[in-house]
Amino acid sequence: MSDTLNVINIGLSSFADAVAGAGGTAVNVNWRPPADGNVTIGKALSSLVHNQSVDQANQIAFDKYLNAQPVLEGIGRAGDVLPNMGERCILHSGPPIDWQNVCGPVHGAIIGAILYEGWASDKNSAENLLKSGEVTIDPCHHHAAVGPMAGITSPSMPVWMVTNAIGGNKTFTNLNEGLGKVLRFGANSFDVLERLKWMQTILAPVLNEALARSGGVELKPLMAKALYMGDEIHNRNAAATGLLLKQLVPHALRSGLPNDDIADAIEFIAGNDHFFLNVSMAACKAMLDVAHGVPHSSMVTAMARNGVEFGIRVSGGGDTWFTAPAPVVDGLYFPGYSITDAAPDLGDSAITETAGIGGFAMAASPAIVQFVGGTPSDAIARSKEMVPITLGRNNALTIPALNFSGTAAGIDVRKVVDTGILPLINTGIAHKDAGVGQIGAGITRAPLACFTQALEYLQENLNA
Amino acid sequence: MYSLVAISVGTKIPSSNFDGKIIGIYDHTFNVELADLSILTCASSNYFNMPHGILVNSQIRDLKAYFKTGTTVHHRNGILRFSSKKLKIDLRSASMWAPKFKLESRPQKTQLNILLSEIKNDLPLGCEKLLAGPLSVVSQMIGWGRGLTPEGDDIIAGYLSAISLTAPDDPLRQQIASEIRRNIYKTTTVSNQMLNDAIEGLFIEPVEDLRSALYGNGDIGYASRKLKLVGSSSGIAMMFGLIAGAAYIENYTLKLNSNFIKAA
Amino acid sequence: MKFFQKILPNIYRDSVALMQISCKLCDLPGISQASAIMATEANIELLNEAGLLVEKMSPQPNNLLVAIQGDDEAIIDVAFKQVEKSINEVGTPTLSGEEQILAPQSIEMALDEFPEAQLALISCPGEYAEAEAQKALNLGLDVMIFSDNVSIEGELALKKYAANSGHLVMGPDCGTAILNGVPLGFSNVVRSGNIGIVAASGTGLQQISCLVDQLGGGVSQAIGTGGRDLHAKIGGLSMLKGIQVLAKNDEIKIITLVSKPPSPAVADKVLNEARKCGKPVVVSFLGADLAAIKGDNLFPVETLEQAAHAAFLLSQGKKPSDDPLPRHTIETSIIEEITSSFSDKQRYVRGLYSGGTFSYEAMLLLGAEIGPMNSASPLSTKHKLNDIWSSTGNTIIDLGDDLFTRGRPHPMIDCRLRNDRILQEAKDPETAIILLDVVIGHGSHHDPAGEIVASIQAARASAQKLGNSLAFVTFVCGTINDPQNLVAQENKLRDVGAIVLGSNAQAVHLASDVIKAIGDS
Repeated sequence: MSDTLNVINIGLSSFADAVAGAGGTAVNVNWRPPADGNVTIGKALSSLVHNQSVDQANQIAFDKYLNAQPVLEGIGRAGDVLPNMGERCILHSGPPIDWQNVCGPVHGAIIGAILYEGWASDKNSAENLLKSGEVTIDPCHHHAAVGPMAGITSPSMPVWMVTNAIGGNKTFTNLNEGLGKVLRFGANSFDVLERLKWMQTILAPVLNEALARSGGVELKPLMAKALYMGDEIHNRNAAATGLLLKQLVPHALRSGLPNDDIADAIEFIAGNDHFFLNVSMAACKAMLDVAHGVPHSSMVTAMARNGVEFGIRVSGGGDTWFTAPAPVVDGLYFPGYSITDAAPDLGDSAITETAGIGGFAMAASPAIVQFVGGTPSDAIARSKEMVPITLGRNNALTIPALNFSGTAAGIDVRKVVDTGILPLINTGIAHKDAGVGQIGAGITRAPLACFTQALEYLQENLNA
Repeated sequence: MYSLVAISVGTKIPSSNFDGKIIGIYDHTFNVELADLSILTCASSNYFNMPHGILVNSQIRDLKAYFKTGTTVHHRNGILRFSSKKLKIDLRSASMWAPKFKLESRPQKTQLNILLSEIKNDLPLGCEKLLAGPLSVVSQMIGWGRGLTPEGDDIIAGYLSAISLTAPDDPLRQQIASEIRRNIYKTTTVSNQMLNDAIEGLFIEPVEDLRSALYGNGDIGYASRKLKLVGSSSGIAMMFGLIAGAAYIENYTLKLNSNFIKAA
Repeated sequence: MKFFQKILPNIYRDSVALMQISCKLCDLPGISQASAIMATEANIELLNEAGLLVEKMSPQPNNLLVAIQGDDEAIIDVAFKQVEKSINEVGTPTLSGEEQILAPQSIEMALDEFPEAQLALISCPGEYAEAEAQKALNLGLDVMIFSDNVSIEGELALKKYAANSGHLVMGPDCGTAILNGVPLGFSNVVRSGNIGIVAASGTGLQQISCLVDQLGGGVSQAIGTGGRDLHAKIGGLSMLKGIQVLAKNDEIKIITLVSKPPSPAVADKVLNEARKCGKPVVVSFLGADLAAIKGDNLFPVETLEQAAHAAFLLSQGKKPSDDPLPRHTIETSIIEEITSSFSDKQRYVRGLYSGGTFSYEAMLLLGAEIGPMNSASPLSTKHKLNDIWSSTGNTIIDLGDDLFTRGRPHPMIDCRLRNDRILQEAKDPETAIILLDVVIGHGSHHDPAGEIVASIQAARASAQKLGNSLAFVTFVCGTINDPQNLVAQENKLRDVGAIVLGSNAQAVHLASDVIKAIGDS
């Protein structure tokens, strides 16, 4: 094929025109300096692109992710089932943070959890327990768990238990309380704590009994169905919630538990379109945890925010969190609120995008796409935009509007830095003050700095 | 984009960049013609190795969903990309398939006769001439039969797999080689490559395996069953060639009762 | 302040769509708050808290509630009409079947989109060029680095990697090349043909390929190596690879090498590679001892013009002639005419070049005939100009040198730097000849001759005031198929009385003859 010349052109685009004019073919790269122009990181990147060790590691990690089969198995008590949690620990979303530095909603929720546990009888004494170090806080992610928004999980709370039938790894998540004044947005009033108690004593047993009788719910097929029904399973869970409820109701009715309890539980779930979100998150974590820990792999295995920092974990990055300040989301705000009221990005729910759904599956959810101020064709464009920064497609989770191709999945740190395309995240927006609740929703992007740090780590370890 | 990883590549797969185009798509394999007109066969893991072959790590199905005949293929530093942009094959971690043959024993006449009896009902008429002596029939056999590799060519390739155990300057081996070169225009491009490889002593894995079983250690029964399964008739034809060649160098006279030979 | 609230029965819209509508309403002048929302219990509470609801109402989840707070009723009416309009629009299908293709944002992404790519052409800022080139090499592409400011260590690392992986690196600072007949970077539209060039000099490559084109031959492959390739530190890695590439290319019958003389060790390596390449090789190592370049298939030449002639003859299956080329095409009578028009003080040549190799060749040729040239970067440091912005005696400068271009565009793109210098030289009573190169082709100024003629005229006028008459000796490096057109450019120069020659060597020889004639008279 020496009679042609096929050129990739980086820089002056007029050179591409000259090539084309002379009978060659040229493709222009829409080039920007990688890593915001940091030459050192740019050089580290150049040694990782097409690097065989990294590519092989990614293949292994990505295969593990693809092969995972998360099954919803039951409900447990957090303190009993979460690894190494202990009885005086409260879990929060995102990367590690000192309790003094947490954002408003997280602080409110921690206080709420202390009151809920009965460790203190009022807010002041709850505060004192934190000050004295008697009660500690730790990321959900460090205990195989995830939680939306503040993510606050305390030992007595009921948690969903998900097992990856292929890898055997287990993940956990708390139960969704619904919208309005809820703990995950930092509310800690009496009614909030009452609802949590009801969830613990009435809802959890009904769900657990129903799940036990069902023999467990395979989550991937359920999520695949939900994608066909207009969910992206992060900010829209209406279909998935319905599908889960449909599977559980007959088993709940046969459980022999009081009819009123069952009716209340069903009513509660039916009234909360986000009920499935937590389950979706645990399923995603189960798929990603099993892919974590492959040396040299540049596949992202978690993205999470604590309202102050945005952090990512990478398969070949060990236990390190690569963090940057959490962005404030410029989304759509409920009446009476604006961006000045917003807490920075918060919650473990970006685990869904890490697993290839949520913002990555926007094309499945035309209703959600209007967050981008857009049309369904924008949704398709957003989903396609994620393809170049991912390792492949998840053919178990397909999208009709993309000709039934799988969602783009397995974010590759190298590709993010090389293209400058940042992962999209669909997110709710919390008020910066505790207890106000959700004040909007929108689309945000993971900060570049997380990925450049991860890249440096990978490069140093490769040469070590 | 879907990614596959190659587990092994044949010695004839270039390690430098190359471009080609897809000329045939089958159930578990596809063929790519390169600029130098050589043909590369990419096959799924349940297939077998060959000198111009690439085996990938999964059982690829529905190949037509990824590309079609005429799709161009581009090798750049260890990765095969396709102009259809739906698939990548990473060759970098593939091992080089190069059979190591060691002469440890020699086949007995009865062993060859047993093998011959297994296939005699499926052989085309006329091939028994090879048992009498090769040279007179090589030129007739090239391009004889049907398929990507006509049966006559398969027989000669099989025959050479035995003959190539002799010294490289063995006169018969050289004569057959020159006979092949003189007549190679008569056959298909795929066959052309197979015969040229055979002259160099390179054969597909099932042929290598049966040859190794006959002349070294190995399960003859297993190897012959595998060889017979190659193609619609290719494997059987190659096996016949191998038996005839082995009989020749071992100085055994084998007979094929023509009653059993099906009409061509 | 007025309040308005209304239920639109049996209209369901997704909450996100409704939030958008609400946001747009709030943007209207005179509207302080507004909301279009499904009338669920939670939402009613939300609006109550926001102070938007003046009338109590019961939840009706299947109906849409519009609540607006505005300055007056007219404004609210406008807002409500907009709500109705927007709500109807929301239902309109907008899904288009059009494929939105994302432009590639990295080399790897481009390669996935364009797997047939063979070469990455890199002209990004120099500090990023090394990393981009490394990625391209990793991905299995040959590389042309147009960018400069790549460190020599970086260059060596790239070229070593390329040598190990069988790839070609052209550059850094490789301004021009022709691959498979396709011009790259700053390049001329040259006929394709069986001559191949490997050049450490961009303008050298352009001069030879353009002259070959004018002679009727063709150049299909012209590989640039970057100016530092033959430094001892790099060791000619790209030139060695270039020779190998051309040796393997069946279409190429003749190879031409262009460079300043490399260090002996590098020259040995390069000439060894040339000797075993199996094709005739014209060697143009400007200023080298021709007798030292030995080999049955090697044809050493002194000038770029000779290189073009030798390569052309060889490409026609002929032996290069041993007879020297004509020095130039100007008759003696004209030289006499020129010298007689000079005043007594006018004695010197001032070469104002835009091409580095042209300036180097001029210093070599003139130096041998009329004595050493003063320069900003002279052949010997003894002849370095004290002030590069002011000529003295016989001076040759390369205005494309970093010394002159710092912070300015290259004189091949922007003629102002050189035009100013032309005017400056004209004011110097000792200036006799102004020697100029005009380089055309892709990337160069769209009409350099047009720019220069204006300053030639101004320079003449200025010299006349001193009672002087200036001689302009020029040549155009280009082809008739270049966008600027060789003949058109030459004619523009001739029209203002400049003497236009066929090559740098000819122009230099004429300048030399004129200067010598001044001395004789």
